[in-house]
Amino acid sequence: MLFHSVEFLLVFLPVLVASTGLVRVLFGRSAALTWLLLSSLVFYAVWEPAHLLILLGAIGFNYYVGSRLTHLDAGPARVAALALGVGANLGLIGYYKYAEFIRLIVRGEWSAVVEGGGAALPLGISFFTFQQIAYLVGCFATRENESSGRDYALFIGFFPQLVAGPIVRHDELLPQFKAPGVLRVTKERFSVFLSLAACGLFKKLVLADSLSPHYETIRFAMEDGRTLTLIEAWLGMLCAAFYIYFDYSAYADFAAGTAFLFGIAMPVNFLSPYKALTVGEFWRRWNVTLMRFLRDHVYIPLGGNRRGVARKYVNVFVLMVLCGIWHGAGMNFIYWGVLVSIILCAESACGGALSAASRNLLWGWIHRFLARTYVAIAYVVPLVFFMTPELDLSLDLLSSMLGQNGVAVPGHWIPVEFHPWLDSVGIDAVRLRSYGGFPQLGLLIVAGIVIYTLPSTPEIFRRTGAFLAHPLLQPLRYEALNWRPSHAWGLGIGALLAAAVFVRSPATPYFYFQF
Amino acid sequence: MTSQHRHSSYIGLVAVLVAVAMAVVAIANLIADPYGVLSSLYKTDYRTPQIYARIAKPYAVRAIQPSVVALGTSRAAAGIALDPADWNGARVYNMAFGGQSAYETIRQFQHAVAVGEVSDAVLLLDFEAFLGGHWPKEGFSEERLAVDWSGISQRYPLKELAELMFSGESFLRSLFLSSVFNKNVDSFGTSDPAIHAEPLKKHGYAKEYQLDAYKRAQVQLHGQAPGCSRVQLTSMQALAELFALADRSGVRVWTGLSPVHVSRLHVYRRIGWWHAYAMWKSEVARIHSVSRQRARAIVDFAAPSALTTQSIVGSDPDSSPMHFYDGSHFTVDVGRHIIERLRNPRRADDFGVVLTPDLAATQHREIDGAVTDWALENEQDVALFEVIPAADPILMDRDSMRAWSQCKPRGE
Repeated sequence: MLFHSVEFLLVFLPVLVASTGLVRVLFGRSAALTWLLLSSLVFYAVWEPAHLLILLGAIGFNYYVGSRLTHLDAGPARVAALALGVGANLGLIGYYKYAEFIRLIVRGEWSAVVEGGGAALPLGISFFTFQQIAYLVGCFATRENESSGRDYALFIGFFPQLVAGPIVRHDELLPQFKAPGVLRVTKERFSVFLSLAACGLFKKLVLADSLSPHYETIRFAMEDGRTLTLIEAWLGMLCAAFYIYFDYSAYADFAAGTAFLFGIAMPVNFLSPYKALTVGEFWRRWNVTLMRFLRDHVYIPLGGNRRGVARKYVNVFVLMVLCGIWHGAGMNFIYWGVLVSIILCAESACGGALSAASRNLLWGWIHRFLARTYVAIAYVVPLVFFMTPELDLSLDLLSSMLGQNGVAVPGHWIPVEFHPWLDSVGIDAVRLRSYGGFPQLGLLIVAGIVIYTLPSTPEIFRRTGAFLAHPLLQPLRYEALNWRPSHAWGLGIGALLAAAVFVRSPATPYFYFQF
Repeated sequence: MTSQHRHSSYIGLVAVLVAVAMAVVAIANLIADPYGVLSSLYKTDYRTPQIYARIAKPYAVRAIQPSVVALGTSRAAAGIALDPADWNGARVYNMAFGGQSAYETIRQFQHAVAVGEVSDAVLLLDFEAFLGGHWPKEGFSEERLAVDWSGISQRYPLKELAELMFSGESFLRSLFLSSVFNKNVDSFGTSDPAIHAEPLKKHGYAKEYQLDAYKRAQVQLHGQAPGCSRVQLTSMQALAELFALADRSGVRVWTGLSPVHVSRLHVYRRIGWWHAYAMWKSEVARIHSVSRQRARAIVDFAAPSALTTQSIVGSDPDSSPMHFYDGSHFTVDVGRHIIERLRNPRRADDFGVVLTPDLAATQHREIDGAVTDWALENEQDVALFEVIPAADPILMDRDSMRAWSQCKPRGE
């Protein structure tokens, strides 16, 4: 049941809101929380009933281990309990996600490695497993675990964040279940939900689902053995990059809006990453909760940047390769992680000096333009490996992006009188079979305007309380851009919602559901 | 204004805005009906735009509940104009559409039988619709049809209707319907050949024949499923199932092999489809002969005749009407002739030969000779097709024909 499906929007959510409110009025907050938990489990079971047992087993096990960690005295037994808990979680995700991958590597069947496979992946396993590992580590570190089993189960199983994040910390969510106003649906919360849902629907249905076919076009072309020229390759990959952003960002908006409908604020997961001026900043703004998890539980324990430059680079390498592996069992994700870590290390080594020089020598807007162009390129190039399991296709696509497979422009762009001159400088004026024409170009321009000129949703809705505070979440410069229930905003949100309703497309799953 | 009031006002504004926008779109779509679907809810005499025929025709069949249907590809869609007067005033409808695969043909037939009381079906078979590249195209939907493949009833596709009614894409098409879309409405399924002949004036007949033949060659050489330009076992099974369903339902199927201009047969030989074409005809004749439909003879209209050997380069369309728009699409006049001939197959007429399993091989040899004679006598016409790539023996030969069952369409 997808957030943007008719079943969810017109059946599941209205029934859940009404029934939760009724239970709250009749039996109180605690009963309503239990009802919300049961409903969340139903939401999960709709995908694959058998996987509900895995989720319930994982919740029960981790809650038990968390309790032991809270009550055990310091010593080897407590450390062993933590190791057991974390190990079991990694074993679970390893079995479902990596067992086949590791078996193929051990047997040396490299050609099969790229195809992945193995057991059917329980939806959201990468997210709820990491969330529970963070919980166990938190219990070990602070001994703070005052939650009941029901509250813990709801912390993991709360449906807005269950299947694709954000990866929430227990100290962010559990206290909210105890707040007096929780689960009370008010007009204020509903109007915020409506507005966030409209943003999410617009991003997903109008932008993301319109961008993805253009990437599919170049992918199918490559699979059919056709060679892409420079423009086709770059435009296709830009569509892929923007598609992933809008797709996941739409999910994050929907998750935050739906959670807020029940009075629960979510952590920020996307903060205008493409506006970052460095790749390092980009990764602090992209999938914020995943990167926070990896920073807190991998990078910092390894020593972070406190043990010298060389060790820092090693830690960055480990961090990004693990991030790649987290996304899936495939060599392409490892290549992606390696490439991103190289870029991050290179930037760390000399990016600061270059950036300072650029800032000093150039006007501010030129510096920002150059920096953001660099960030976009540094994101898109590794993305080639991320999106393409087959290494030969990735390398071929990279060759195309470097102009090695020819430079061509759509013939009808240029008056025929100039074609001989283009030919003389090595540029073909032909019909580009994998270029979607002005619709593709127009879509990229609209997407670019949204990405680079508008504030992010958490910034716009910062004052509503739908998002938890974040150091990078700063007040907007222009007051009018802060959301409020005004007529102007009503017209804007209504237009977004209408546009999303009118886009006739089947409910396609979110990109991150595969992880 | 209190905070609660402001939020109420805000929610109301958003709701009203969305509701008004949806109403405007729905009304525009209902009136303009760009896909030719929504009007099936309130009238039965609407036109069916060819480019959305896959979407529109199943709804039209639900609305019209025809007793006589025509089935086939664009050739039947453009050339067969069913006249109720020929069928005792029965409700008639042409269910053919461009690129209709054998699988789609049986599914359309199942649909028609399920929603009405079909008594007769005119079935025009195209060799190319049985090749690997011809599986259901974009726009085909199983859910849209009244029954599934097993014959089990399916729900009325209300969801699709709602989607089409509130679709922004439909709305945009609705807005441009009068200025742009009308010009693209094809005559397929209508009886106005003038519209269909319109594009030919742009290129001229000779060029159109050449382009059409070149497209076939492209299918063979660069088909959507490389190596699958061969007859599909599943397509032959679909044909057998169609006859079986007709037998069970008491439907008379008037079966013919679509006429093509002799130049098309010349192209078949050139691109290496000739043996496969012969074997396909034998197999069609065999499948037909084991059904109760054998009571009605199957006629091969592609056999060279006066109608199919008209000179391309030498003819003047202004003084003598052309029988074909291009190498494969015949005119409505030819279509009328086909229906007469199907209903009186034994009548002396050089247009079409009765096909039987016993005679198929002999007939094909005679056709081969006739094509050779035509080629020798019409060098200017033959020269048109010199640009067509020659045969690729790997893609289509006797062995690959025998191995047809190993080749499955993409997605199967």
